[in-house]
Amino acid sequence: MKKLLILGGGTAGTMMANSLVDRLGTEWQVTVVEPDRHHVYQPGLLFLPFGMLDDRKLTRPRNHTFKRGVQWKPLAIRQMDHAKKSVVLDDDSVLEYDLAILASGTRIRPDMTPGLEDGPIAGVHDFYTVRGAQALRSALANFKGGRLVVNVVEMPIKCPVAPLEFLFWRMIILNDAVCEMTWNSSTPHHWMRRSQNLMLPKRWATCWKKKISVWKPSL
Amino acid sequence: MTAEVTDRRLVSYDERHVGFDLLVSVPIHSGAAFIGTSELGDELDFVPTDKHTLRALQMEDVFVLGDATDLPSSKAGSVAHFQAEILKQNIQDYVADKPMKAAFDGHANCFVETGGGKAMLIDFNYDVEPLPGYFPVPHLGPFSLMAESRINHWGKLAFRPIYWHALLPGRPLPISPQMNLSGKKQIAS
Repeated sequence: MKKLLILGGGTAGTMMANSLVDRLGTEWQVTVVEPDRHHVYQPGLLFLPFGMLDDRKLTRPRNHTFKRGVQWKPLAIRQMDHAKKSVVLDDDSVLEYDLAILASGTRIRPDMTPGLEDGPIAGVHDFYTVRGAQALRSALANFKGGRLVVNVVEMPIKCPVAPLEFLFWRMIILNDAVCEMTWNSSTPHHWMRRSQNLMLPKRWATCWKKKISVWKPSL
Repeated sequence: MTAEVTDRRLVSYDERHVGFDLLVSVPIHSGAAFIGTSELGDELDFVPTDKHTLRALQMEDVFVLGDATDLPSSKAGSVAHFQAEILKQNIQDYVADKPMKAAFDGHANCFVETGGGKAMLIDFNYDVEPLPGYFPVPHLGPFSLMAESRINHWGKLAFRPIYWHALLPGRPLPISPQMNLSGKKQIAS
Protein backbone atom coordinates (compact mmCIF):
# COMPACT_ATOMS: atom_id res chain seq x y z
CA MET A 1 0.00 0.00 0.00
CA LYS A 2 1.31 3.45 -0.90
CA LYS A 3 1.55 6.12 1.76
CA LEU A 4 0.46 9.76 1.50
CA LEU A 5 1.62 11.70 4.53
CA ILE A 6 0.04 15.08 5.28
CA LEU A 7 2.12 17.03 7.78
CA GLY A 8 -0.24 19.38 9.64
CA GLY A 9 -3.98 19.08 10.32
CA GLY A 10 -5.16 22.69 10.11
CA THR A 11 -7.48 24.05 7.44
CA ALA A 12 -5.16 23.10 4.55
CA GLY A 13 -4.18 19.62 5.77
CA THR A 14 -7.70 18.58 6.81
CA MET A 15 -9.30 19.75 3.55
CA MET A 16 -6.63 17.93 1.56
CA ALA A 17 -6.93 14.66 3.50
CA ASN A 18 -10.73 14.65 3.18
CA SER A 19 -10.61 15.52 -0.53
CA LEU A 20 -8.02 12.90 -1.45
CA VAL A 21 -9.07 9.93 0.69
CA ASP A 22 -11.81 8.91 -1.77
CA ARG A 23 -10.12 10.11 -4.93
CA LEU A 24 -6.82 8.26 -4.63
CA GLY A 25 -8.42 4.84 -4.34
CA THR A 26 -7.72 1.90 -2.08
CA GLU A 27 -4.04 1.51 -2.90
CA TRP A 28 -3.25 4.70 -0.96
CA GLN A 29 -3.26 5.16 2.83
CA VAL A 30 -3.83 8.81 3.80
CA THR A 31 -2.29 9.81 7.16
CA VAL A 32 -2.38 13.22 8.85
CA VAL A 33 0.22 14.06 11.50
CA GLU A 34 -1.01 16.76 13.89
CA PRO A 35 -0.31 16.99 17.65
CA ASP A 36 -3.16 19.37 18.60
CA ARG A 37 -6.30 17.48 19.66
CA HIS A 38 -8.63 20.35 18.78
CA HIS A 39 -9.24 22.06 15.45
CA VAL A 40 -9.55 25.84 15.91
CA TYR A 41 -11.84 27.89 13.63
CA GLN A 42 -9.20 30.57 13.15
CA PRO A 43 -11.42 33.28 11.58
CA GLY A 44 -13.29 33.26 14.92
CA LEU A 45 -10.24 34.50 16.84
CA LEU A 46 -11.01 38.08 15.74
CA PHE A 47 -14.52 37.84 17.25
CA LEU A 48 -13.32 36.54 20.65
CA PRO A 49 -11.79 39.75 22.13
CA PHE A 50 -15.09 41.56 21.48
CA GLY A 51 -17.21 38.83 23.09
CA MET A 52 -18.91 38.21 19.74
CA LEU A 53 -18.30 34.46 19.66
CA ASP A 54 -18.69 31.82 22.35
CA ASP A 55 -15.40 30.02 23.14
CA ARG A 56 -17.16 26.67 22.71
CA LYS A 57 -18.03 27.49 19.10
CA LEU A 58 -14.39 28.14 18.27
CA THR A 59 -13.04 24.60 18.42
CA ARG A 60 -14.04 21.04 17.61
CA PRO A 61 -12.43 17.74 18.59
CA ARG A 62 -9.93 16.90 15.87
CA ASN A 63 -11.20 13.32 15.38
CA HIS A 64 -14.58 14.74 14.24
CA THR A 65 -12.94 16.67 11.39
CA PHE A 66 -11.61 13.72 9.36
CA LYS A 67 -13.55 11.54 6.96
CA ARG A 68 -13.62 7.75 7.34
CA GLY A 69 -10.43 6.26 5.97
CA VAL A 70 -8.13 9.10 7.06
CA GLN A 71 -5.62 8.00 9.67
CA TRP A 72 -4.65 10.61 12.31
CA LYS A 73 -1.36 10.53 14.27
CA PRO A 74 -1.72 12.89 17.26
CA LEU A 75 2.03 13.47 17.60
CA ALA A 76 4.46 16.31 16.89
CA ILE A 77 6.98 16.04 14.06
CA ARG A 78 10.60 16.25 15.12
CA GLN A 79 12.42 15.89 11.83
CA MET A 80 11.79 15.27 8.15
CA ASP A 81 14.37 13.48 6.01
CA HIS A 82 13.37 13.98 2.38
CA ALA A 83 16.31 11.94 1.06
CA LYS A 84 15.04 8.90 2.99
CA LYS A 85 11.41 9.96 2.46
CA SER A 86 10.56 9.65 6.14
CA VAL A 87 9.63 11.71 9.20
CA VAL A 88 10.56 11.14 12.85
CA LEU A 89 7.80 11.81 15.39
CA ASP A 90 8.03 12.91 19.02
CA ASP A 91 7.79 9.34 20.36
CA ASP A 92 10.82 8.34 18.18
CA SER A 93 8.65 6.40 15.77
CA VAL A 94 9.43 6.77 12.05
CA LEU A 95 6.82 7.18 9.29
CA GLU A 96 7.85 6.59 5.70
CA TYR A 97 6.04 8.12 2.72
CA ASP A 98 5.71 7.78 -1.03
CA LEU A 99 4.22 11.27 -1.30
CA ALA A 100 4.16 14.03 1.32
CA ILE A 101 2.16 17.28 1.61
CA LEU A 102 3.58 19.96 3.89
CA ALA A 103 0.61 21.75 5.46
CA SER A 104 2.33 22.74 8.70
CA GLY A 105 1.17 26.38 8.63
CA THR A 106 2.65 29.25 10.59
CA ARG A 107 3.21 29.97 14.25
CA ILE A 108 3.58 33.29 16.02
CA ARG A 109 7.06 34.17 17.29
CA PRO A 110 6.84 36.76 20.08
CA ASP A 111 10.24 35.36 21.16
CA MET A 112 11.81 37.05 18.11
CA THR A 113 11.01 40.58 19.36
CA PRO A 114 12.43 41.61 22.77
CA GLY A 115 9.62 42.50 25.18
CA LEU A 116 6.79 40.94 23.22
CA GLU A 117 6.82 37.82 25.41
CA ASP A 118 6.12 39.88 28.56
CA GLY A 119 2.41 39.46 27.86
CA PRO A 120 -0.71 40.92 29.52
CA ILE A 121 1.12 42.03 32.68
CA ALA A 122 3.12 44.48 30.52
CA GLY A 123 0.00 45.49 28.55
CA VAL A 124 1.09 43.35 25.57
CA HIS A 125 -1.56 41.33 23.71
CA ASP A 126 -2.30 39.44 20.51
CA PHE A 127 -5.34 37.62 19.13
CA TYR A 128 -3.62 34.99 17.00
CA THR A 129 -4.00 32.19 19.58
CA VAL A 130 -7.03 31.15 21.66
CA ARG A 131 -5.26 32.08 24.91
CA GLY A 132 -4.10 35.40 23.47
CA ALA A 133 -7.60 36.32 22.29
CA GLN A 134 -9.13 35.36 25.68
CA ALA A 135 -6.58 37.47 27.58
CA LEU A 136 -7.27 40.40 25.24
CA ARG A 137 -11.00 40.04 25.88
CA SER A 138 -10.49 40.57 29.64
CA ALA A 139 -8.03 43.40 29.00
CA LEU A 140 -10.49 45.24 26.74
CA ALA A 141 -13.32 44.72 29.26
CA ASN A 142 -11.16 46.30 31.98
CA PHE A 143 -9.57 49.01 29.81
CA LYS A 144 -10.17 52.34 31.49
CA GLY A 145 -8.95 54.43 28.57
CA GLY A 146 -5.57 55.59 27.41
CA ARG A 147 -3.68 54.86 24.25
CA LEU A 148 -4.51 51.63 22.47
CA VAL A 149 -1.98 50.70 19.81
CA VAL A 150 -2.50 48.13 17.04
CA ASN A 151 0.82 47.02 15.63
CA VAL A 152 2.22 44.57 13.08
CA VAL A 153 5.86 43.69 13.81
CA GLU A 154 6.72 42.47 10.32
CA MET A 155 5.07 40.98 7.21
CA PRO A 156 4.17 38.33 6.18
CA ILE A 157 1.46 37.53 8.73
CA LYS A 158 -1.52 35.22 8.63
CA CYS A 159 -4.78 36.94 7.61
CA PRO A 160 -3.16 40.34 6.91
CA VAL A 161 -6.51 42.17 7.11
CA ALA A 162 -7.20 41.02 10.70
CA PRO A 163 -5.32 43.88 12.45
CA LEU A 164 -7.23 46.34 10.28
CA GLU A 165 -10.53 44.65 11.13
CA PHE A 166 -9.64 44.79 14.81
CA LEU A 167 -9.03 48.51 14.47
CA PHE A 168 -12.32 49.17 12.61
CA TRP A 169 -14.34 47.22 15.17
CA ARG A 170 -12.70 48.86 18.13
CA MET A 171 -13.33 52.30 16.63
CA ILE A 172 -17.05 51.62 16.32
CA ILE A 173 -17.43 50.11 19.78
CA LEU A 174 -15.47 52.74 21.71
CA ASN A 175 -17.54 55.01 23.86
CA ASP A 176 -14.88 56.27 26.19
CA ALA A 177 -13.84 59.80 25.39
CA VAL A 178 -10.34 59.37 26.75
CA CYS A 179 -9.11 56.71 24.38
CA GLU A 180 -6.37 57.35 21.90
CA MET A 181 -5.66 54.82 19.21
CA THR A 182 -2.70 54.32 16.93
CA TRP A 183 -2.15 52.00 14.01
CA ASN A 184 1.41 51.09 13.20
CA SER A 185 2.09 48.81 10.35
CA SER A 186 5.27 47.91 8.58
CA THR A 187 5.06 47.70 4.77
CA PRO A 188 1.50 46.41 4.44
CA HIS A 189 0.46 44.92 1.09
CA HIS A 190 -0.69 47.38 -1.55
CA TRP A 191 -4.30 46.12 -1.29
CA MET A 192 -4.20 46.45 2.47
CA ARG A 193 -3.10 50.05 2.06
CA ARG A 194 -6.01 50.57 -0.31
CA SER A 195 -8.59 49.10 2.09
CA GLN A 196 -7.06 51.18 4.84
CA ASN A 197 -7.14 54.38 2.80
CA LEU A 198 -10.71 53.65 1.79
CA MET A 199 -12.03 52.95 5.27
CA LEU A 200 -9.93 54.80 7.80
CA PRO A 201 -11.05 58.35 6.87
CA LYS A 202 -14.70 57.34 7.44
CA ARG A 203 -13.81 55.78 10.76
CA TRP A 204 -11.76 58.80 11.75
CA ALA A 205 -14.88 60.89 11.32
CA THR A 206 -16.74 58.57 13.73
CA CYS A 207 -13.87 58.81 16.20
CA TRP A 208 -13.80 62.58 15.86
CA LYS A 209 -17.47 62.70 16.94
CA LYS A 210 -16.67 60.47 19.90
CA LYS A 211 -13.64 62.63 20.77
CA ILE A 212 -11.19 59.78 20.19
CA SER A 213 -7.93 60.74 18.60
CA VAL A 214 -6.40 58.44 16.05
CA TRP A 215 -2.79 58.64 15.12
CA LYS A 216 -1.02 56.81 12.32
CA PRO A 217 2.73 57.27 12.35
CA SER A 218 3.31 54.09 10.27
CA LEU A 219 6.19 52.86 12.37
CA MET B 1 9.50 47.39 11.70
CA THR B 2 9.32 46.94 15.43
CA ALA B 3 12.70 46.32 17.11
CA GLU B 4 11.55 45.95 20.71
CA VAL B 5 8.83 46.63 23.27
CA THR B 6 9.96 48.19 26.52
CA ASP B 7 8.33 50.19 29.35
CA ARG B 8 5.02 50.44 27.48
CA ARG B 9 6.70 51.78 24.36
CA LEU B 10 7.21 50.34 20.88
CA VAL B 11 10.65 51.06 19.48
CA SER B 12 11.29 50.83 15.73
CA TYR B 13 14.59 49.97 14.05
CA ASP B 14 15.09 53.62 13.15
CA GLU B 15 14.59 54.44 16.86
CA ARG B 16 11.17 56.05 16.73
CA HIS B 17 9.02 55.46 19.81
CA VAL B 18 5.26 54.96 20.28
CA GLY B 19 3.92 54.78 23.80
CA PHE B 20 0.90 52.62 24.68
CA ASP B 21 -1.34 51.71 27.57
CA LEU B 22 -2.65 48.62 25.80
CA LEU B 23 -0.81 47.03 22.91
CA VAL B 24 -2.37 44.64 20.39
CA SER B 25 0.61 43.42 18.42
CA VAL B 26 0.81 40.72 15.79
CA PRO B 27 4.17 38.98 16.30
CA ILE B 28 6.55 37.80 13.58
CA HIS B 29 5.27 34.62 11.89
CA SER B 30 7.42 31.64 11.00
CA GLY B 31 6.87 28.13 9.67
CA ALA B 32 6.74 25.02 11.88
CA ALA B 33 9.74 24.17 14.09
CA PHE B 34 10.53 20.92 12.23
CA ILE B 35 10.89 22.84 8.94
CA GLY B 36 13.76 24.73 10.60
CA THR B 37 15.44 21.74 12.28
CA SER B 38 15.19 19.71 9.05
CA GLU B 39 16.51 22.71 7.01
CA LEU B 40 13.66 22.61 4.51
CA GLY B 41 12.77 26.31 4.48
CA ASP B 42 13.97 29.89 4.11
CA GLU B 43 15.17 32.09 6.99
CA LEU B 44 11.62 32.21 8.44
CA ASP B 45 11.06 28.47 7.86
CA PHE B 46 8.67 28.89 4.93
CA VAL B 47 9.13 26.21 2.26
CA PRO B 48 10.27 27.20 -1.29
CA THR B 49 7.31 26.21 -3.51
CA ASP B 50 6.45 26.34 -7.21
CA LYS B 51 3.88 29.16 -7.37
CA HIS B 52 1.63 27.37 -9.91
CA THR B 53 1.96 23.58 -9.37
CA LEU B 54 2.59 23.83 -5.57
CA ARG B 55 5.43 21.28 -5.73
CA ALA B 56 8.31 21.77 -3.28
CA LEU B 57 11.21 23.21 -5.28
CA GLN B 58 13.97 21.33 -3.49
CA MET B 59 12.39 17.98 -2.61
CA GLU B 60 11.19 14.97 -4.57
CA ASP B 61 7.61 13.77 -4.06
CA VAL B 62 6.68 16.66 -1.77
CA PHE B 63 3.97 19.31 -2.25
CA VAL B 64 3.32 22.36 -0.07
CA LEU B 65 -0.05 23.86 0.82
CA GLY B 66 -1.46 26.82 2.75
CA ASP B 67 0.51 29.05 5.13
CA ALA B 68 3.59 26.78 5.00
CA THR B 69 4.63 27.98 1.52
CA ASP B 70 6.98 30.88 0.74
CA LEU B 71 4.59 32.11 -1.99
CA PRO B 72 3.65 35.80 -2.38
CA SER B 73 -0.05 34.86 -2.04
CA SER B 74 -1.89 35.94 1.11
CA LYS B 75 -1.65 33.64 4.15
CA ALA B 76 -5.42 33.19 4.39
CA GLY B 77 -7.97 30.40 4.67
CA SER B 78 -9.40 31.19 1.23
CA VAL B 79 -5.94 30.75 -0.30
CA ALA B 80 -5.54 27.36 1.39
CA HIS B 81 -8.95 26.42 -0.03
CA PHE B 82 -8.18 27.51 -3.62
CA GLN B 83 -4.74 25.87 -3.45
CA ALA B 84 -6.32 22.63 -2.20
CA GLU B 85 -8.67 22.62 -5.23
CA ILE B 86 -5.64 22.92 -7.55
CA LEU B 87 -3.48 20.46 -5.62
CA LYS B 88 -6.15 17.78 -5.49
CA GLN B 89 -6.15 17.71 -9.32
CA ASN B 90 -2.35 17.89 -9.59
CA ILE B 91 -1.77 15.08 -7.10
CA GLN B 92 -4.17 12.80 -8.95
CA ASP B 93 -2.22 13.53 -12.16
CA TYR B 94 1.11 13.13 -10.38
CA VAL B 95 0.38 9.68 -8.95
CA ALA B 96 -0.96 8.59 -12.37
CA ASP B 97 2.31 9.78 -14.03
CA LYS B 98 0.45 12.36 -16.10
CA PRO B 99 1.56 15.98 -16.61
CA MET B 100 0.10 18.33 -13.99
CA LYS B 101 -2.40 20.63 -15.70
CA ALA B 102 -3.88 22.72 -12.87
CA ALA B 103 -2.12 25.97 -12.00
CA PHE B 104 -2.66 28.14 -8.92
CA ASP B 105 -3.08 31.84 -9.85
CA GLY B 106 -2.61 33.36 -6.36
CA HIS B 107 -6.37 33.80 -5.89
CA ALA B 108 -7.43 35.16 -2.49
CA ASN B 109 -10.84 36.26 -1.29
CA CYS B 110 -11.36 37.97 2.08
CA PHE B 111 -14.19 39.61 3.93
CA VAL B 112 -12.88 42.67 5.75
CA GLU B 113 -15.02 43.62 8.76
CA THR B 114 -15.40 47.40 8.88
CA GLY B 115 -17.54 47.63 12.02
CA GLY B 116 -21.16 48.59 12.65
CA GLY B 117 -22.47 45.34 11.14
CA LYS B 118 -20.83 45.92 7.77
CA ALA B 119 -17.94 44.42 5.84
CA MET B 120 -16.07 44.78 2.55
CA LEU B 121 -15.02 41.98 0.25
CA ILE B 122 -11.72 41.89 -1.60
CA ASP B 123 -10.87 39.41 -4.37
CA PHE B 124 -7.48 39.34 -6.08
CA ASN B 125 -4.63 37.14 -7.34
CA TYR B 126 -0.89 37.27 -8.15
CA ASP B 127 -1.47 39.69 -11.04
CA VAL B 128 -4.74 41.52 -10.38
CA GLU B 129 -5.11 43.72 -7.32
CA PRO B 130 -8.50 44.17 -5.61
CA LEU B 131 -11.04 45.81 -7.92
CA PRO B 132 -14.41 47.39 -7.11
CA GLY B 133 -17.65 45.93 -8.48
CA TYR B 134 -19.57 42.90 -7.30
CA PHE B 135 -18.72 39.26 -6.65
CA PRO B 136 -21.33 36.79 -7.89
CA VAL B 137 -22.02 33.70 -5.74
CA PRO B 138 -25.05 31.52 -6.54
CA HIS B 139 -27.72 31.57 -3.75
CA LEU B 140 -25.66 33.76 -1.41
CA GLY B 141 -24.42 36.81 -3.31
CA PRO B 142 -23.75 39.03 -5.04
CA PHE B 143 -21.37 40.60 -2.55
CA SER B 144 -20.02 44.10 -3.09
CA LEU B 145 -16.29 44.39 -3.72
CA MET B 146 -14.18 47.12 -2.08
CA ALA B 147 -17.32 48.68 -0.60
CA GLU B 148 -19.09 48.22 2.73
CA SER B 149 -22.39 46.39 2.94
CA ARG B 150 -24.45 44.45 5.47
CA ILE B 151 -24.70 41.39 3.24
CA ASN B 152 -20.89 41.12 3.28
CA HIS B 153 -20.98 41.01 7.08
CA TRP B 154 -23.65 38.29 7.00
CA GLY B 155 -21.44 36.44 4.50
CA LYS B 156 -18.61 36.50 7.00
CA LEU B 157 -20.88 35.20 9.79
CA ALA B 158 -22.35 32.50 7.51
CA PHE B 159 -18.88 31.24 6.78
CA ARG B 160 -18.47 29.45 10.14
CA PRO B 161 -21.02 26.64 9.47
CA ILE B 162 -19.80 26.50 5.84
CA TYR B 163 -16.27 25.96 7.17
CA TRP B 164 -17.19 23.03 9.43
CA HIS B 165 -19.75 21.35 7.18
CA ALA B 166 -18.57 21.99 3.61
CA LEU B 167 -15.02 23.30 3.44
CA LEU B 168 -13.25 20.92 5.85
CA PRO B 169 -15.08 17.76 4.63
CA GLY B 170 -13.95 18.70 1.09
CA ARG B 171 -17.44 19.31 -0.36
CA PRO B 172 -17.58 21.46 -3.49
CA LEU B 173 -18.28 25.17 -2.93
CA PRO B 174 -19.72 27.48 -5.62
CA ILE B 175 -16.54 29.59 -5.79
CA SER B 176 -13.94 29.03 -8.50
CA PRO B 177 -10.35 28.43 -7.36
CA GLN B 178 -9.23 30.68 -10.25
CA MET B 179 -9.96 34.39 -9.96
CA ASN B 180 -12.74 35.54 -12.27
CA LEU B 181 -13.14 39.07 -13.66
CA SER B 182 -16.93 38.90 -14.05
CA GLY B 183 -18.62 41.62 -11.99
CA LYS B 184 -15.37 43.49 -11.46
CA LYS B 185 -14.97 47.06 -12.71
CA GLN B 186 -11.72 47.80 -14.48
CA ILE B 187 -10.05 50.89 -13.13
CA ALA B 188 -7.28 52.91 -14.71
CA SER B 189 -4.04 52.13 -12.93
